[in-house]
Amino acid sequence: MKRISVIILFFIIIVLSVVQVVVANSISTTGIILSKLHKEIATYEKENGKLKDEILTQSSYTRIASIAGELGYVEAKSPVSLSAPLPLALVQ
Amino acid sequence: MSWRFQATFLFFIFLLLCVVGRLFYWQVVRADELSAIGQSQYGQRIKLMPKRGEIRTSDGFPIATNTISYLAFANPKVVSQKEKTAILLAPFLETEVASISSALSLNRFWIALGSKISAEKKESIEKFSLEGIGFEEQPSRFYPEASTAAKILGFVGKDENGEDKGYFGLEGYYDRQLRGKSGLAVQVIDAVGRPILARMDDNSAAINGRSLNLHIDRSIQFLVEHELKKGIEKYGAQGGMIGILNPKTGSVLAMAAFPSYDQKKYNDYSAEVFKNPFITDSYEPGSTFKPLIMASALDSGVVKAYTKCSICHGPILLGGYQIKTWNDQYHPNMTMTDVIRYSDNTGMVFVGQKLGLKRMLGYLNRFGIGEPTGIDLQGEATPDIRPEESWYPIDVATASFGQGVSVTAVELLSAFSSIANDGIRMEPHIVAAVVTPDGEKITIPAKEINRPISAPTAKVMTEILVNAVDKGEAKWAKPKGYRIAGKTGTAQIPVEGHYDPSQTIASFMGFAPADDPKFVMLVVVDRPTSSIYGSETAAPLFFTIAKNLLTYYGIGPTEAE
Repeated sequence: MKRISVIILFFIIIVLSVVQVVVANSISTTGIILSKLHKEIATYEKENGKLKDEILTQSSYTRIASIAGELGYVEAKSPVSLSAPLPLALVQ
Repeated sequence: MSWRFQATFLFFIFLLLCVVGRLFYWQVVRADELSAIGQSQYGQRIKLMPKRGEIRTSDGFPIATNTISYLAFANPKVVSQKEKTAILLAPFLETEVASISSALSLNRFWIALGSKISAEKKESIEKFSLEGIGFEEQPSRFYPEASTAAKILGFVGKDENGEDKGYFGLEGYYDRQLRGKSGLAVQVIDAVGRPILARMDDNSAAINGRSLNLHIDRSIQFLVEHELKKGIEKYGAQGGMIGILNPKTGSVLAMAAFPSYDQKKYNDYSAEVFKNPFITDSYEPGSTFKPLIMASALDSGVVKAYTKCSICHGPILLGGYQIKTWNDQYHPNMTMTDVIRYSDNTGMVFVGQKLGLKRMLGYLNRFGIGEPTGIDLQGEATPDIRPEESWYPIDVATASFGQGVSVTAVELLSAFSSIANDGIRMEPHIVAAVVTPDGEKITIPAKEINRPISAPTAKVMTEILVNAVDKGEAKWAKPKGYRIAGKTGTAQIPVEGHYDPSQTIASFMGFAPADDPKFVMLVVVDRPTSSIYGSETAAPLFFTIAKNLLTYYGIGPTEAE
C-alpha cells in the first residue's frame, strides 16, 4: 500500500513537472505580445487624455463666453418673465 | 617536516585566505551594490505613481484634473548649433533666448530647459529634429476653466521630496484625499528587456487619489467672477470678494476674490495673492453687522420692530466721543424697522444699550462670531472677540453698528445666513461628496451648527431687511418685482489709530427670494474710488448678480412693479 502511494506521488510529480515545463514554454514568448500591449495601452491612454483635455477646453465657459463675445452675442439685460401675472386690481 | 613542505603548506594557506578575503569582499562589503546590479538585470523596479483625484463642480465638470505635460531637457555636449537651438526653442518654452543659450553652454550632460510643456508644443519642437534635445513625461494639473475659482481650488506644487503637494484652498485642505498612495512593482525581464509573463511580481499597487464633487455651481461661479471683475474696474476699487451660500444647507455655491492668480503659473506670483481673503482677512463690517445686533435684540425681547428710539434726535455723546449718523440726519422716535432702513448709528446705540454687553456677547457667540466657521478650505483665520472685562460702554455702542469688531467675510455670511434659514445656522461647506477610485460616493451631509435666534425673530428680521431694501439707500438698484432682504455697509478703514474717511470697505449682504431664500450673498468692494458708499457700489453689484441668479433658478417676480 505504501509502495503504491509512493509510485502515485512520483507520477504526480512527474506530470506536474511536465505541465509546468509545457506551460512555461508556451507562454515564454508572450512577453513580446505583453510588451506590445503595454505600449498600445499607453498610446491609447495618451490619446484619450489628449481628447479629454480638448473636450474640457472646448466646453469650458471661459472659452464659450469668449467665442460668444467674438460672434456678437450680448447679455440679456431684461429677461421677460411669463410666470405669475398679477390681477389687474392689485397693480397700483 | 622539511622547510619545503612547510613553505608549500603556508603558500596554500595564504591562497585560501586570499580566496576567503575576496569572497568576504564580494559577499559582505559589496553585497548591497551587487544585489542591486543583479536585481536590475533580473527585473525592473517601477514606482507606480497614483493619479491625483479630480475636483468637479456640481454639474460634474472637472474644474481641476490631470494631464500629461513634458519636461524639456538637453545634453549640452551633444547640441552643436547652440545659438540656433536657443532661438528655435525660446518661443515654445516661453523664456528668453539668452537663458536657453547660457544653459546650453554649461559643461554638463543633462540640463532641464523647461517644464509643463504641452503635447502640442512638444510635437512642434520635435519637428525641428534638434540634436541633444529630449522630453520626459511629467504628470501635471490641468484647469480647463483657467484661473476660475483659483482662490477656492488652491494649486499643486512640490514638497521637500519633489512629490506633488496641494497648497491653499481645496488642494491644500483635501491633499491627503486627493493625492492617493504610490506603489511599487517589479517586472521580471529577459535579456533584451522584454517582460516575462510567467514572472510578474507585484509588490504593492498604487492607490489613486479620491475625487471631490463640489457644491460650487460652475455657472454661478463664472457669473460671479465676471461681474466682480467688471465691478472692481467700474468702481475703481483695489479688490473685492463675493461669497454665495445656500442658507438651508450651508452649501457654498460660489466664492470669488480679486486680485487672483493663475494656478498654472503660481511661481510668477507673490505668496500674498494665494490666500483667499474671504476666509483669511478680517475687516470691520460696518453696517452689515447691524442685522445681527438687531436680530439679537429682537430675539431677547428687549425691543420690538415697532419700538421707538428715544435717543435718536441728534448725535450721542458717550465716553468723550460723539456718535453721529452717516449723513448727519436724525429721525426722532423712529422705529427699529426704520433704524435698519436709515442705517442709523444712533438707533443702533439705543439697541446696543438695551441689549447690554453680556447679552450681546452671548448672541455674537451663538452667531459664531469669533470662531472658525468650519469651512473646508485651508487657511481660515478668525479674529477673537475681546474678553468681556475689556469692553467699555463706548465699545458696546460702536460694536452695535459694526465698528471696533473684526470679522472675516465667511464668518459674517455664515452668521447672516441663519436669518434666511428660520434662525438655524448651517456649517458652510464646499465639498458635497468624496468619490473613491472604485466609484464609491461618500456624501458629506449638511451640518446644523445651532439656532442663534428663533424662527419668528428670523421672520421679523427678514421683513425689516426687505423694508430696508425697498425703501433704503440702495432701492434704485433693486430688481423690480422681487422681495429681497438685505443691508448695505460702508465701513471706514482704521489706519494708524484713526478712521480714514476717504477709504472704505463697501459691502452689501442679502438673500432672495425673501420668503423662500435660494441664496444668501455677501459682496465686499475694497476701497472703491468712484463712490465710498456700499449703496452705490456693492449694492448694485449684488443686485446685478441676484437678478441673474433669480433668472437662473427660474424664479419670476412676485410683486407688482
